[in-house]
Amino acid sequence: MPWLRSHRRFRDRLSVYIDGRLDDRARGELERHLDACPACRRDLTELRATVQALHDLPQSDVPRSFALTPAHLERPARPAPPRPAPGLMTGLRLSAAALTVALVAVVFVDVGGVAEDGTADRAARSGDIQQPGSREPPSEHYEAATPGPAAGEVGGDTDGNTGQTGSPATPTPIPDADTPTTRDTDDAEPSDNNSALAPVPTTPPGAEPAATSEAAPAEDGGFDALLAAEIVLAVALAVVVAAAVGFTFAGRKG
Amino acid sequence: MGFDEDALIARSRLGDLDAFNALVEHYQRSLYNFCLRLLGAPQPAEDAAQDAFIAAFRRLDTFRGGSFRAWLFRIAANACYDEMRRRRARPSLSLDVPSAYDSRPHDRPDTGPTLDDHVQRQELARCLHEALASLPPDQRLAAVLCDVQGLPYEEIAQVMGVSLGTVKSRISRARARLRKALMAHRELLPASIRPTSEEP
Repeated sequence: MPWLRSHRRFRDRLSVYIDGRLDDRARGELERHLDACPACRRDLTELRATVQALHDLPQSDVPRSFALTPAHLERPARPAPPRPAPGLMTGLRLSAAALTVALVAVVFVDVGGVAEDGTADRAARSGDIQQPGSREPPSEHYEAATPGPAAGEVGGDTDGNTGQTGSPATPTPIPDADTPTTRDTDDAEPSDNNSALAPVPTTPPGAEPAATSEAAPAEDGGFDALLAAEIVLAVALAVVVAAAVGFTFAGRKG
Repeated sequence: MGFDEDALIARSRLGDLDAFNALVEHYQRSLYNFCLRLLGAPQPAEDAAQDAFIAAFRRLDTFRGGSFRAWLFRIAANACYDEMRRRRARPSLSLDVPSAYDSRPHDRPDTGPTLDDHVQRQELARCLHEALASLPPDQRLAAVLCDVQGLPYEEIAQVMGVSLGTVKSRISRARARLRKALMAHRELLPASIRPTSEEP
């Protein structure tokens, strides 16, 4: 409402007006508003009374002379008081900043993965293994890799890979969780010798079907965990921001 | 001979303690009252004022001209903040000592107001003290410098190390809150400045 806005603007200028520090134009505008606004006239009267009361506060005499003696100067300065501990607001700000960075990192990596990996990433996430194109669904990777002749030889390498695939809940492994999938897909087709990237050795060769059925949910579970991490981060960020806003307004009111 | 502040500062810079003590003598009453309004109790105000004068003498080389009073009040404000932190860290040295506004003979003339008037003034002072104490420190500092000490905006900006715009807005917000607190006890105001409540 325009009138209310201008009323607030004029009301905020009353303090400077009392001190005679408004320029001529602003003073003229305010005085015209005062003629028409009883509420501002009342505010002005009360503000003037407040300022006068403060001005009239009695001054106390000094309890003693503060003149310096050589003894004052020989004495070391009083120890500095303890620094105030970081307040709640500082903690909230730091948490919000950390969460924002984490959230941006997660989203960036995730969106970056989609852009780079295209539909396969979405397919893997949705479990749509019939996605057209040269991309193979994860379960097929595992099937193709499992009977590979080098399966037993690459145990050392795949240990790390398996670990990464199996624990994508923390932000750090997220890029790694996506990247092997892409590389698997691309590399596995030209040559099976690169199956070192596939997490085969976790399952003994004799348990191929079980390995297939377990590996695919593990991959899906990994992406679910990624989503869950994003959701948790987003919710945490929202809570921290809401708390910070709430405390800010509470501080102003209080 | 009058009070030649510049000459006294120049001599003080050379280590002349007598010259500096002439400056102390000149400013000690307003500086002590400034600390008293910020801290609300005599003993911490006394400590802060003494610390401020000692610090000022030691740091005279950092005074680069302008208002010496503002420079001094800035040091005193910092001494007060130190005192607040010190007392907050040691609850036994609480700042909640209202004796600054208790009856003090030097606060009123012998042949002055009646007893009722005196009690009313004391109550008003206590009310203002509590209202000031409830302000955030930066608003309290702005209000004390402007309305109790009577410093112009420019000197307040120098004391607080902020822009003129910030000074105006802090004073405005402080006064708005003080007004609200005071108008809840408007009967304490002298009739000469008491606003009537007829207007909406």
